[in-house]
Amino acid sequence: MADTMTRAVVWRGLIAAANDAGRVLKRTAFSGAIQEGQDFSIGVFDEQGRMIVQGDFSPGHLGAMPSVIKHVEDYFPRGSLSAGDAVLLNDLFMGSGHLLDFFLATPVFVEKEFMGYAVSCAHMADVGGASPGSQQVEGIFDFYQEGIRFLPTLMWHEGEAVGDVHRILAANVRVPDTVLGDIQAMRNANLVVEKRFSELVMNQGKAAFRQVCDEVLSISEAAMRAEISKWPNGVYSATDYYDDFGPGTDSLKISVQVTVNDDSVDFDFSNSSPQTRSGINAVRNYLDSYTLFSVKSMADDGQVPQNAGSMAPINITCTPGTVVSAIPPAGGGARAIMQQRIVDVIFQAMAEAIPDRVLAPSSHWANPIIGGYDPETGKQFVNYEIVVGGFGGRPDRDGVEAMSASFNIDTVPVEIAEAAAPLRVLRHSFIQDSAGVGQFRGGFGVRKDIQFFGKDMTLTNLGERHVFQPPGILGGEPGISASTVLNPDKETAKELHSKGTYFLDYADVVSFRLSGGGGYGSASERSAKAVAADVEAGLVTESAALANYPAYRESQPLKTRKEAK
Amino acid sequence: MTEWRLAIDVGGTFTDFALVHPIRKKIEVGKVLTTPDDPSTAILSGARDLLDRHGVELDEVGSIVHATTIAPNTIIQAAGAKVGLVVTHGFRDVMFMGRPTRYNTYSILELERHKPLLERKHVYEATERTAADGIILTTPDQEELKDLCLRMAKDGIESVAVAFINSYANPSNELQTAESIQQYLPGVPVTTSASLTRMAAEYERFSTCVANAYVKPKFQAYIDRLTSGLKNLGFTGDIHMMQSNGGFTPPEALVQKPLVAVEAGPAGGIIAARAFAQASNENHIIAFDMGGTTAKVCLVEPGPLPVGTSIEIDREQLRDGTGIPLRVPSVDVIEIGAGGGSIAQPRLGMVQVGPKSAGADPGPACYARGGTQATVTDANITLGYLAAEDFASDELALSVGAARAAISDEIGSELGLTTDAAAWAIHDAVTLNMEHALRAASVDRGKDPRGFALVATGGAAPTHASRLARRLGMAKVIIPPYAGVASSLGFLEADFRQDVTVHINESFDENTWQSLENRIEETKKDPTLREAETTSEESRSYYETFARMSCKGQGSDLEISLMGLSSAAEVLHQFKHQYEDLYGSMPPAGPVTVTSIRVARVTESGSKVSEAATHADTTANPTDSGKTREVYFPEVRGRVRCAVYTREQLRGAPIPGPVVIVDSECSTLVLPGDKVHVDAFGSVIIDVNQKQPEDEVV
Repeated sequence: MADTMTRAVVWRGLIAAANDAGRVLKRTAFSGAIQEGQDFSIGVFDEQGRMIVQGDFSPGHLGAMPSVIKHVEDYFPRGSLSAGDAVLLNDLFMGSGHLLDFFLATPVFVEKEFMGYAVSCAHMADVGGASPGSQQVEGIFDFYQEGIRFLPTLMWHEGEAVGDVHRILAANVRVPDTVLGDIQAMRNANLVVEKRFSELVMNQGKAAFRQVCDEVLSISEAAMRAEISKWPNGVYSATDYYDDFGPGTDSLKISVQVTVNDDSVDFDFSNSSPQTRSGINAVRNYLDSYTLFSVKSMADDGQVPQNAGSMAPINITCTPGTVVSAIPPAGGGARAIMQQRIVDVIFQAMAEAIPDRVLAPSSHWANPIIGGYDPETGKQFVNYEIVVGGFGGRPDRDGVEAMSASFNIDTVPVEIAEAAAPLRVLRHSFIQDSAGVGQFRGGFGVRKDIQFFGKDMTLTNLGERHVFQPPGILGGEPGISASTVLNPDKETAKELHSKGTYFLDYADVVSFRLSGGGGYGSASERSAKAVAADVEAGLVTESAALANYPAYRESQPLKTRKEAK
Repeated sequence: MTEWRLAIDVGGTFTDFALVHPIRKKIEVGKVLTTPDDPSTAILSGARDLLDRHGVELDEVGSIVHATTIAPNTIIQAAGAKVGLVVTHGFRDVMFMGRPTRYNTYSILELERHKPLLERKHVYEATERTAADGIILTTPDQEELKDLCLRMAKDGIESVAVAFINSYANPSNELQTAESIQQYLPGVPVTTSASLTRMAAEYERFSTCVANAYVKPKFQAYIDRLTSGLKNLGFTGDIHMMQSNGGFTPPEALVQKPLVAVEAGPAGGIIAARAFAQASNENHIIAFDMGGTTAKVCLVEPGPLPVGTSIEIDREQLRDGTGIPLRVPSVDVIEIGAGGGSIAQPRLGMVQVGPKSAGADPGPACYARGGTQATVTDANITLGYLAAEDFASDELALSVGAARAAISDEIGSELGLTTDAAAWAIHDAVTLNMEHALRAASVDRGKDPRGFALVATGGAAPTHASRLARRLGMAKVIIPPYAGVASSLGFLEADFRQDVTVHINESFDENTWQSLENRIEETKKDPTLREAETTSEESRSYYETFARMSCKGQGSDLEISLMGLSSAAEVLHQFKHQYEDLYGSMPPAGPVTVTSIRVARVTESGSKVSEAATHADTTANPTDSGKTREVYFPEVRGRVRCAVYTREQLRGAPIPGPVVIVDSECSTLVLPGDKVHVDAFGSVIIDVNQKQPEDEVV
């Protein structure tokens, strides 16, 4: 055993290195998904290719990151890379499920001896393919339509950029400066890890460093097993639905069976719908990511460290070829819209078993992309819009508003967006009476109306919960449905499909309206005071409060009660 | 200026005083308990006592520099005014949506946003709109405003915030609205968002505006009480109010925007650290302050103090994203939850220290007031770094036994360590946390800490400073005199200062250099910059100018000092230089954007506290104290008998460690292999031996 101090210095040092590298990546990146979306992560691996620490950034890379080095080593056997090399991959099956996520792996050498890897992963602004932002759903039949794909490929060799490959990449994306700038930022981030990593090895010695790596994994595994042991043994299941995978398509089923067996847990998603001929498919790595996220959240509120050890007690299975475990040539550009349902269905399955460790299903997020030309400058613009709904109700409190309950995303402030693209936000506010009713209500839905002043504009809509509302749990009610409305204040107002692609005219207004989060527990348990606070705030109407909440009804004068009836 | 100057720093627990006569080279300090209900009570009686003790009349005091925690405390205690917020139609929920990022990715069950400082029913939507380029699309409607004011009056609104979308680009709609509100709601204070910040991003701007409106009435009342109280006592000089930007301003200016002073105390501490380091010929320093609950770190180089554009107040356990964001100029400090009271817990086979703190009540286990959890102070007492007898007072007797018991029960038995080893593990873990903070302040900003001296202030910092310096390869540690009242001394080193930041967001090259220079000249005329001036002191005034720049499209930027740069090429060169220091290589040949400019106007205040620092005789040999005690060092795998000195006894030639130096409020630890002396200004100087091997393991 390494002594407690050495372990602390190495372990905390690697965590600090991953977090600091993440900050460098965020500050030097060009794409909005990295700057505001937090859509990146950093992993540190030992010489055996085991992930020792992962920075707390996007949970979407939890599943893919641990196996990235395995894929790199299939093409570049251990020991064949030199100092200053950097290998890129974005294959959706090796990576995190869509081509937009680039992984860059660099070997770490200490005194010329290979000691491990630094890996960064980040979401690019565009990788080519059918539409700006490379996330189109409609009309996508396979991933070849979604953009350029790299199997593990050398991007830097001994410190020098491999110019030919950079040129191929630049030629195949819509915003080459942004994408090249971002992979440069990823390389800068890896350098931070390499520097700290080698300092730690130099200071502590190689033997002690290796010893600590072993211990980090075994301690983390034991911590996760201890958490799972607190859950009652049994088999738990739930089913939920995705609205569809494009206009005129069927709904998609996601089903999970959870088996808790002492200190390990199995998740089986095999009973889900078959994969689709569209951009809506999740690969196994993506399913793994959000299953692991859910486990981490249920276990000790995410305090268990993230590495290969803590994942060992968690076994995930799914028949290949389902919509949450797609196989080639499935497209997956729009898979980010699927994540929340993976979390929701797991929490629904576990609600009866561990009611104090789950949320009701949450509202959704919308990720429409609007591209076109600015008539004043003549330049092309791509507006990667993000609207975030709220949490479902929780064991001892209401859902939070305008915050994602799965991936951790920031949005672009209205003032920044208006300065960057020809658009004007007309409204950004909560939707009254939208939250799922319950002892602890869901977060309220969010409405964002945007007017676009471009030419030749295309809207690639990407939303969910237009058809299937976020259900309530343990007696709670669902939140209201989402919708997208074109020109809501005109006579010509029309509802748009959640995943349709539309041409927009100059000065068109699109109103994105997100669902409310599901309620937790029965409405009859909600106090009159809590309801009154929502009524006073203008979030719940008096009539809805009287209709839905018995305690509130009883607290009102008889006259009001009668009028309500 | 031949008069006395008085500094008063009101903190949460103590109110500190520094009384200085620069010509007579006098520095006198005092400390009384703060009176939270009305801080002016302690100020007036404490000032009276200090002056009496030294035979100084209040009318001999030419100026008072003052900082108070009224504004932050009003926010932390949720005790501010009933605020009404007037916003652009459609943006009622900006304050309630905040930012969507979770400060803890995996804690979705318990996560909560900071509660906004107003109620949703007190948000009033106005029909008005400004475009992102500053063009007014819709002017406010007078009838509607009149109606809004009637509603606000009916709702009992005590303070109004006006925050409109894109007002950073053109504040005229806000100003017009504020004028109308003053007309319809006479006597109710109004804050406009653009008067506080001209940086884009609505949530942060609105939040700043609301927070200002929230504290304004209370702050105004306090200043009124203080100034009349001082006048009644016979004070006829000027009152200067310290701000977070490291400079001061008259009270009349500060009552309009009290928020710009929420970090005034820490700013004073950093200025004091710099002044005493300069007196000891060190100009490149890392100021390190550690008290009961937190540690603060700031890297200071010659030239202007590092001033950032935003801070976050009332954070939960100091975690970013849990507090209220404020866009106000503030000395750039990294703060972590590591102090003497930080609680240690076993976790995953290691010791985790903080961010939770035992606070003053029950306090560390050694206070024997019912605290059972092991804290950093308990570890330091156990290791012999602090001694119970050094800090004994009528109010507090420290118990070594209680400290040892807590460490043994909470850490030792859990991790299978002896009590000494467990205490060392706690000391080591908190030092590691501070090492990461120091790296963040230096290495992560492209600075090599080995070129800096570590200046330690605050009750707990001197005990940890040598160890930290050794870990980071820093050659020198300075413990200034009066370290317990450092902030108030710093106030007497400051100047009048106002900062204005203006959002630009334009690309930068030779062709736009002239237009940037014009913008700077225009900004210099901003009336805000003149708020800090009481007289026409033009001869002692100057400007500082800065630009924040980024590679076009990047989300974050760097501040470049424009002083001494006279062409676009020089500015670009400086940007590239700083960028590569920080991040490695610049992306190839992309365009560069200026995101904002900052202009500060400084008016020198005259004599400084550092001029009053005494030049003592340093040729004598240290007085042998004759006192020793057993102290634990991992280097020697156990305890060694170690000499104990007071600062006064140490004046003169350097002596080798291990040594413990006891001051009234802190205990300085000098490691084996290091050397220590007290210099002419009364600062303890430790020369850290760089050849000493890294700590060996016990």
